[in-house]
Order: sequence, then structure tokens, then C-alpha cells
Amino acid sequence: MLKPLLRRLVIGLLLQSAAVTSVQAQTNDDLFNESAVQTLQITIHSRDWESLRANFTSNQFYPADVTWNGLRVRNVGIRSRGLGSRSGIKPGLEVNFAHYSSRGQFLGMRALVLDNLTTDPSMIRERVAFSFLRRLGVPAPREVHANLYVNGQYSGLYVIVEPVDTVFVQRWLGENSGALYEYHWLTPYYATFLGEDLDIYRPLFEPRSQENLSTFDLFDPVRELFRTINTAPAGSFRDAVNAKLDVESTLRLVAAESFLAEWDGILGYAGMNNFYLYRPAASAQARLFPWDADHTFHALDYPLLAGAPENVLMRRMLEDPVLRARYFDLVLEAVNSASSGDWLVREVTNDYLQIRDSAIADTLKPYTIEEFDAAFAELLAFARSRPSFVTSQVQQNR
Amino acid sequence: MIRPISSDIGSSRRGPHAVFRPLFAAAVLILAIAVPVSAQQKGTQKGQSGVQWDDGSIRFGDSVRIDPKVRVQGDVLLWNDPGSVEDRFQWGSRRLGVDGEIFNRVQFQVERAFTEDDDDDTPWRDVFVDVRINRALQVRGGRFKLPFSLERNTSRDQLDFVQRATAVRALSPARDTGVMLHGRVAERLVGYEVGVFQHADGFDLTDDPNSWSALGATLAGRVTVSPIRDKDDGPTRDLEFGVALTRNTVPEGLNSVVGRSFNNDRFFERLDVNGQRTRLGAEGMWRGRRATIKGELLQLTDQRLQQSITGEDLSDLVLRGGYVTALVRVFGEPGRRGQAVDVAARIDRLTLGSGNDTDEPFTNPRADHVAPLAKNTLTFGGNWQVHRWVRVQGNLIRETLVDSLGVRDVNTEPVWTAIMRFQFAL
Repeated sequence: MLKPLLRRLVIGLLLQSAAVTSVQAQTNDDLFNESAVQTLQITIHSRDWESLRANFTSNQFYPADVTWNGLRVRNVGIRSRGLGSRSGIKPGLEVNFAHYSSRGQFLGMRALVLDNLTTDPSMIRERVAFSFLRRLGVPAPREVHANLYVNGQYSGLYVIVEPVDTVFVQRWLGENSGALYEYHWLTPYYATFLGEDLDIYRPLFEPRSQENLSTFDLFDPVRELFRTINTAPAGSFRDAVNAKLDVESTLRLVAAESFLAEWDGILGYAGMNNFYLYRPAASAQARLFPWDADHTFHALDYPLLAGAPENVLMRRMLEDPVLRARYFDLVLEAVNSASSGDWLVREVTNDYLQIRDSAIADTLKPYTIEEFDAAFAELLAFARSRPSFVTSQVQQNR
Repeated sequence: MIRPISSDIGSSRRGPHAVFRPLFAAAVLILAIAVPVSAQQKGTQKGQSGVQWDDGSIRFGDSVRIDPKVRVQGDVLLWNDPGSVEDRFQWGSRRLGVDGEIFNRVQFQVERAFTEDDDDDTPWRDVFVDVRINRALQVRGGRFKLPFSLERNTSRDQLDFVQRATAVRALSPARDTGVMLHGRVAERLVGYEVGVFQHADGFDLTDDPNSWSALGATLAGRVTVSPIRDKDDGPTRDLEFGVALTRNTVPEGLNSVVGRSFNNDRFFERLDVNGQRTRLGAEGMWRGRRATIKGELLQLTDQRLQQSITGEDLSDLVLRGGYVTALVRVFGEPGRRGQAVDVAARIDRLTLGSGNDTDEPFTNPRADHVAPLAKNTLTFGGNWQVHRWVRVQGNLIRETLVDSLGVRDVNTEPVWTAIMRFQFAL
């Protein structure tokens, strides 16, 4: 009588244990597995969801539970996010696992961004761009598309974006004890020297780690970086700047962005934008990380050196023959990477096909499915033609 | 760090008409009771007549006494560590008013503030009429403090320290409009106050005016026992114990109370509540010839019906606190209001928590186990009564946040503040 019961109990426990193990074995690599559209569920008090949507311009956090692939994270903080993409119909969201508990984390991450894709009719622009940057060795956030359900109701197609934070820095650089700054566009800024007053740099470079350091410790290195960029003699410019900025990784990032016709990046149409600056604790060599690539693929004939003459850093790097040659090498490396096996064409096509059903189901997106298809066609044309255009630009300018 | 957050409750509440209509009705009711009572007392009054100025009071014969009330407080912040002193001077309380008595039966008080010095939603502070039918039964109607907490019911110009204890500020209700019976019975051994009030907490319901009718009234009661009163000989001059209770309904939303540091910064945010709010208080006071010891224990619980993320009930929100004050008169006559110097010390504590204290703790407004947080405050003070109307106070305050489970992002280093207060109170 007891034996079958005992056997069933043991088998049940073993099965449960196996299930728990499989859930626990998941990592953030599984979350960012691009082979499928992920599913994310948010459970939030109905009053809070109404309030978040009604007050979508506010950064107020609300408590919620988030479930992915059988993993439920309780009491995370979510808030509306974005600049031009803010929406009360389809809110962009920041999911912060540590907002309500300093110990909070999910798969080793402290936060996630849920991009509502309201500014990109193709809905794949940024994912393809960041994927390309990572392919070139540029530290760029991972992204994956996800169907979002809020309180069981389908709430649209989103992109899960890995935030640039200390966890991201640790993953790419193997340490995160330095100071991370998020650049904020306030007025057109072209890497000029802004003067001695450290308070000028504070609104531009918001500390995202080591926030409790003194103003001097935080912003003196930033000031000195831009002083060097602007005042180092031409003969010693390369070494002087390289002592404060990782020139190789910066050239690689700018080359990749230029290939992708990034309209609002380091060499943006209205000055520098959409990047983070990281200053490692053990080195004075700062690094730049890209962010928000919604305006890549701007036009297939977008000039390779657009924005370069205005930007002091880029202009002076191009005036240095060694750095100029290296820049064009890196551009050609980008061309080869995009063309190799039609990687960019395949990436654009695969992403489009992967999300099309979800895009059709997403009735909250601010554009029609015809506009979605047309945007994809533009991206495909870009992917096919951009390598040859850029190659010709290199030949003209090198 | 404790971050400054401007108060959102208290800035926009009921309109003035909503406040004063019931207040006016209560005043008329009280006066209606008062006139016949006063008529019965005419034979007992002395035969003085004319207008007289008598020691700060204006007297119209023996029938009417009016006391002008003026209070001006100025605070000078001497020291704040860590932190910087930017606005060194600021006004404390500034009020004008009158109180008085008619026919030895009807007391009244009208007071208006000219500084936001309390958690009140109008500039009017005490506006009430109080009719004494006999010692055992008095009726008060209008707007006044609820009968809860010894220190809350002590006038600001009579406080032992510049600021009330943290727990008193957070857990005791402010003024409200209502009617209260009070008096002393059993040969003055027992005092009682029991009242019905509109709402003990100034909730912002401007978006949903119908919520007012759903909230119902606030009930409040307090009983004190005074085995020794005004005894001139012996080591004990006064001894008093008391208990108090209030009960009201809180509307759904971010309507829990908040804890504030000395400089008025919030050290925890409002949480989602819905249901009954119950306050319990116990108090004690011993006064000897030159020394006084007093203290209170306070508890506030808020129901959180249907407030979980999935819409289920959460455990009650529980806030507890208390203080003990010791005061010694080092110069001046005991118990008099002439020139005197007192030194005092107070230790107080306020804790935030929830009925569920076993699950994983969180700081969010819908957490079932609310991550506990406490604030311990130590205050040393000196009071110099320069003149019966002029007082100088100095306080040294040490505030410490205690994050016992280490899940909050708060600064647990002590914060020191030194402040001087200059007060004129007529």
C-alpha cells in the first residue's frame, strides 16, 4: 500500500527537482537568444498600470512581477521610459530588478529595457545595428524581440535591451569598478573643450556608477579628456589622446556607426549623442559604448564622413595620418563583415521574418503593417547597396 | 542619503467651503447649548463691570475674557553634519488668534497660521467653541486636535524641544473638524475625551470627490488617569497615565503615513493602503519638584485590502514608535512660568514594517513583507524662559536610520543637527 505511494512521491520529487534545475540553469544568454521571439509577462496592479499609462511622461516606478520562461521575479520596479518614444498607449518600460531591493537581480542583471519600437516602423533597426557592432567587436547591448503580456493581455511587440550598466561593463571589460557616465544631449556638442568649471560637465555626463564620488573625482577626468582632445599639439595628439581615451576602440565604434549611416550617434547630425563613457579605475583610458541605434540605416548614400569635420575629436583623428589610415581600415573591415556571406542581408531578412506575425498582432504600434513592410524593404536595399557605396567613399577619401 | 521629497498630500485638499460648513454647523450647535446654560449661571457671577486689561487678558466685567494670542518663532540652523547649511534662518510657527471665555461656561479659540508649520490643510488652526456643562461633561465643536498623543496635544510653544518626536509627528493625527465630549469624573481622577470627526487624515481626494462619503467618520477617544494632581508637597507633583485610540477609513492609494527626518525630508515613501486605519497610544507622565519624565508608545496599522500586485489582500502595514523625555529645571521656580532654565533629553524611535515579516522583504508600495526601517533620534535640549513671553531653545539632534535587513538604499550614518529657536508667545 505504502510502496506505490512512496514510489510516486520519489518520482514526483525527482521530476520537480529536474524542472527546477532546468529553470535555474537558464542564463541571460538564454534570454537574449535571438533564435526566437521571447515571451515576457508582467503582472501589475491594474491601478498602477492605468496610472503608468496615464502618466507616461513621469519616471515613477511601480511594483510588478515579471515572468520569463517559467522564471518569475517578484517585486521588480517598472517605469515609463524614453524621450521621443514615450507613449501612453504602448509605453516603453524600464524593468529594474533592484529598485525595491538592493539585492534584486534577474539572471545576473539588475535591469532591462523594454523598447516599445514606436520610432522605427521596421521594428528591427536597432537590433540589427547592435548585432553588427558586436560582430565587429564593439561592446554593444544585446537585444531580442519579445511579445509582452501585461496581466495576461497581449501588449505588443517589444525589444528587450540589455542596459549599459556595471553588469554590462563587467561582461565586456572584466571589471566595473570605474566610473560610467551616460551622455545626455542638451545642445549640439562637438567634443569641444567647455572650460574649467566642472559643473558644466555634470548635466552632460550623468554618473551611472560611483555616483558618490566628489565632483572633482567624477568630472576632472572628463574635463581633462576634452581639454586634451582640443589642445594637444598635432605632433603628440595621438599619444596624448590615447592616454585618456582608447583610440582604437573609439575608431572602431565610429567606423561601424558610419558604415551603418548612424544619423544620431557619435558623429550625429546635431552633435554627439547616444553613447556612454566609461573610465576604468585602473586606467585613464576611457571607453565609449553605443546606445539607442534607432537612427541607423538613415540612408544608403549617407556620406561616410558626415559629421566628421564638425567633431573636434574625429577631425583631429583624421588629421593624424596613422589614425586616418586605421579608420579607413576599420571601415573596410565593417564593409567586409557586412558583405561576408551576405551577413547583413540575411540578418535583416531573418529578423523581419521572425517578428512579422508578432508585428501584425501588435495593434498598439503607431504604424500600419504596410509601413512595416516598406521599412523592411528600405533596410534590405540598404543592406544590399551600402557596402559598395561605402567602399567607394573610402576610395575617394583615404 | 535621505532625499528631500516634497509632500504631495496636504497641498491640495478639500475646498474651504467643505471645511467650514460643518465647522459652522458645529459652532451654532454648541452656542445653542451654551446660551441656556449660561443663563442659568448669571446669579453666580461677581458684580464687576467695564473693560479691563488684566495680565494679558481683556475683560468685559466678569462675563467675558478675551486673550489675544501671538506666536512668532524663528529658527537658526547652527550645524548640520553631513550636509551643508544653506538657509540658516527660517521662520518657525507664526500665528495670530484669540481665545477666551464667556459667562465662565463657554470657551472659544480662533487661531490662524502665517507659516506652514503643521500638517494642516488650511491656514486656520484651532477654531472651536467649548461649552462646560459641568466638570464631568464638556462639549467641544469645531476644528481642533484629535484626542490622541500627549505630545501632539501640547501646544508648539510649550514643547520641550524644537520639534515633536518623530513617532508623534508620523503616527498622531492632525487637527480635524468634529464634535467631542470631554470632562473629568471620579473626583477628577479620570479624564476622558471622545469625539467624532470628519477625517483624521487629510487625504487628497480631489480626483474622486465621491470617496468622501465612502470614508465615513473618524472615531477618537482618550482616557487618562491622574492619581496625583497638582500636589505641592512630596516628591511627586503630578502623575498621569493614559490610553488613546482612533479609527478611520483610508481611501485606496498611496495614502500611508510618511516618516520625516528633522529637516522634513522623507525617509520612507507612502505605500498603497486601503481599509481601516487604527491608532493606539499609551502615555505616562511623572512630574516631581524639579524633574519631569514622560513618554508615549504609539502604533498605527493600515489595512491593505486588495493591494497586492495580483489584487489580493496584503498584510497590515504596521508602524510603531515612542519616546521617553527627561527634563530637569536647573534654574527658576518649579512649575512657574517665570524665568527658568530647563535641560532635557529625549530618545525616540519610529519603525516601519508589516504584519508579514517572514517572506522576502521589499521596499515597494505593494510589498507583503515591507522591508523594515527604523529611525532612532536622540535629542538634547536646553530651554531658557527669558520672560513669560520670550523663550530661547537650543537642540542638538542625532538621527540614525536602521536598515536591519540591509535591503534599502539608505545612509545609515548618523546625521547631527544643532538648532536654536527664538520664540515670542503671548
